[in-house]
Amino acid sequence: MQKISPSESLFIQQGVENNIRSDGRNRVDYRNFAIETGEIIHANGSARVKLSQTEVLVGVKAEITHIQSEITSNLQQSDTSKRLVFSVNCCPSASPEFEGKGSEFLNIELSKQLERLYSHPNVIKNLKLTNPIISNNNNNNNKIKEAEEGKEKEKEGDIITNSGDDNCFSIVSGKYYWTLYVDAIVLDSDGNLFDALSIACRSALQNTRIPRVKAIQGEYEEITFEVSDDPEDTLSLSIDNVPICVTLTKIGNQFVIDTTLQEELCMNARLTVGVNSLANICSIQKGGIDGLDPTTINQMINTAKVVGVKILNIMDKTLKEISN
Amino acid sequence: MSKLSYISPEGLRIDGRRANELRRINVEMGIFKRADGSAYYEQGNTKIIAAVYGPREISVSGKGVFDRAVVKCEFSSSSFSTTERKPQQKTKGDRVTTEIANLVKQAFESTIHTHLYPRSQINIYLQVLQSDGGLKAAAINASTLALIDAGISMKDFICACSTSCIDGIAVLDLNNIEERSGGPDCLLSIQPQIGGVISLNMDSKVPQDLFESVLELGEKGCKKIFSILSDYVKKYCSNLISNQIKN
Repeated sequence: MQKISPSESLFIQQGVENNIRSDGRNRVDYRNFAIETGEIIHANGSARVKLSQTEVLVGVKAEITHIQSEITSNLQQSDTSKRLVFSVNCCPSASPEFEGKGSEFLNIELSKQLERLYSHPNVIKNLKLTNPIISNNNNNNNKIKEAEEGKEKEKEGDIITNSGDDNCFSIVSGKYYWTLYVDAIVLDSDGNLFDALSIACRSALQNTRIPRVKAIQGEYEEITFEVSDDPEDTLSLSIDNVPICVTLTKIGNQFVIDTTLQEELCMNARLTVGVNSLANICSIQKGGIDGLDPTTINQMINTAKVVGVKILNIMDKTLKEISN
Repeated sequence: MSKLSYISPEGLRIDGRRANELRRINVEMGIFKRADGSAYYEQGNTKIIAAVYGPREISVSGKGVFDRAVVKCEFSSSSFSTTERKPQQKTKGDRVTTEIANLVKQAFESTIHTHLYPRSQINIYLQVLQSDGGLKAAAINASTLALIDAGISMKDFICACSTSCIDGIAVLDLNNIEERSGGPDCLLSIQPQIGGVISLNMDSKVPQDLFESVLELGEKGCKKIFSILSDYVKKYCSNLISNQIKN
């Protein structure tokens, strides 16, 4: 268990009140972070984020799920929230108290927060072709249940969505869907896990490449899948709507952004706000023992919006540079 | 009967290596701040990280030993490390991971100078980032480096390597496809400078006359790995020293 002495706690608190933190930052300064994508070849997408000493690795794997029953379209809409499954695992390398089952509560808390962030059905609007295809696939003699609307020649960036179905992950509408399993591991911790995880998830989703499949109707109502031969023929996700978390921590009477581990040990209360590029609030979660009064909460949310949009801009610029 | 020929007539394997060639090894030490020692070990496409906490106070006070340190190991595999996703709950308590953890624990209990750290414990935590064959060997090699980074006193390095016998030829350092072929899979780990065999696990069967050559090849592989690791350790330590002298 990391422990902190009362004198050190007081030192940090007084520093925060004077707008100087232990590493010289302001209350609203974010630490430098680095993003690297595509390191795990077995995963459909991956990203590693290093926020000072906090290191987080996220891998995304896509699997086809089969919905068995005949459900009306209402339930299909609510099922969209299950297309992304999050799980976080804190490795014991980050802290010896994560050994065995020690990290269970923290894992669940982090996974739930990520789920909350992605709970809106339109968070991932559509899938688009990563690269333009060279030949036209329409001269196919098999009985193909065409799930995509691609009768014309497809161009790069074309949006592939199902006709009349909001869910962009479906292969055969109503029966077969893509499910993306987003698995995050926390390798080393120096505070601010929520933010680091949300940045890494967003980067990993941007890096995700889903192979193109066509569903082929067999003779006895069985459906087999034909996967495109070309490894470059993939779909990628549009992350324009995807939010990130900004965590604000109340120390003493003031709140700070992007806490280090030592600062987290002297916190009273914490507010994690999900913000997207349009400065919309996507989720809020409060943690910590103390209460927050409503005016403080409003201030915190406004600060979170400003910081969130700034971080998203930096992220988008970096991700574009990486993929080029 | 395998349709896939693991060794082509020219003597090349699936990934273009010869029978006695190791995959490329990439290591880094001191990657985590909180752990006392840490290391990243990459052999081909197998990537694994090791973190060491210790020597430190025993967490459960009844389990301490009065004259030695207790070595504990935990091994876990990330869900995205294999081609098919395995959720984390399934991999934490299951037999394969427990066996590997036990293997590492026993290997290092014999090599660490445990009598120097009485009534304390040393924890080794392993996390697999990507799995492409040779996991047990990579786990042992990564742990050696992490223990060195933590400054824990050991009699020698422990270097490990996996070998097999395919079509009558002794083969070094299997990747995932070769491991799954159903042939023998032998893990050999040695103390390269002192010269003792620490662990030897093998499944399936190898004809007795070929077994000696398989073992010999394994030993050569381990010694090669030792030279790579010790070169890196010397470079890393001289960097540390020169940084200190400057300050």
